[in-house]
Amino acid sequence: MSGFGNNDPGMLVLVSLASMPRHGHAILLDVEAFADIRLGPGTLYGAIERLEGKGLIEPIEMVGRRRPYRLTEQGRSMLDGRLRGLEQTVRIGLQRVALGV
Amino acid sequence: MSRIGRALAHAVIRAYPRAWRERYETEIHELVDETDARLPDAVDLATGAIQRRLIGGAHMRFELGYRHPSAFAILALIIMAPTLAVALLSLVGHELGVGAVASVVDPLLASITAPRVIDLGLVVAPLVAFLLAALPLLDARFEQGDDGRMLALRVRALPVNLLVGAVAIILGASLIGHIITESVLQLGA
Repeated sequence: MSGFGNNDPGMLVLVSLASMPRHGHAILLDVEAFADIRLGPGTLYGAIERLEGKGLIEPIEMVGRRRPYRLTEQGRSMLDGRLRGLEQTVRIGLQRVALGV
Repeated sequence: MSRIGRALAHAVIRAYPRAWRERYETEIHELVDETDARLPDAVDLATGAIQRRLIGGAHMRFELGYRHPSAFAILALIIMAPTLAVALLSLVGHELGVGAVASVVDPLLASITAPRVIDLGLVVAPLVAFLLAALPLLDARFEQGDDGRMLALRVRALPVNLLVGAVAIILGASLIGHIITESVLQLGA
């Protein structure tokens, strides 16, 4: 689970694929829309390769020259755990900021 | 500008390791076209290519030699053949005391090695031969181990290359030893 910060390209790709399978360009557009981060093609495919190697995402049948990817069950479970951890951190952090402690 | 960036990005993709390209090349070329890649994208791809080459487990080896090791061993043998012949004849003539051979070899050797470049070539040949024989044997790559990044070096056990490499080392070392001995004797005289 280490190496997945909230701005980590791998984390962003996982979040993008959580709703539906997407190919490279669709992932870039989606990440840009929800995180306001423009991933470079080398960064994106570095992340895709790592996630695929860990069994967190998998390719599906090519459509023309595009290859969509989807989240595996392992990837969905890992993302769920990671997001819940972040949610707790964010919630506690916001409470402490509000209290000025 | 984006046309230059896109052309550069397409070119940089070819710098990725072959195995990586076989898997991702088609779709990343498509991505580069779809996103109308710019110069920063080409830089991003170049960074990725360097990472894949250096820390991603890509093999670092002399591909041409790796594929044709015997050809390189034969080339090495051809390159050091004149030096080997001269060394063997000198050995027979002087060390084994065959006077007839020495009387033929010494004047011949003196005339051949008169130009410094040929003399130097005969001395350098074993080193070149060693490199040609040994390079096809080496296969290095960075791997992510439990203790961090490791440089894994593998040496192929190819008898012909090992034999030619060993002969080149012995020949080169003998020549250097001979040159040093001669120099010391000349200084002492």
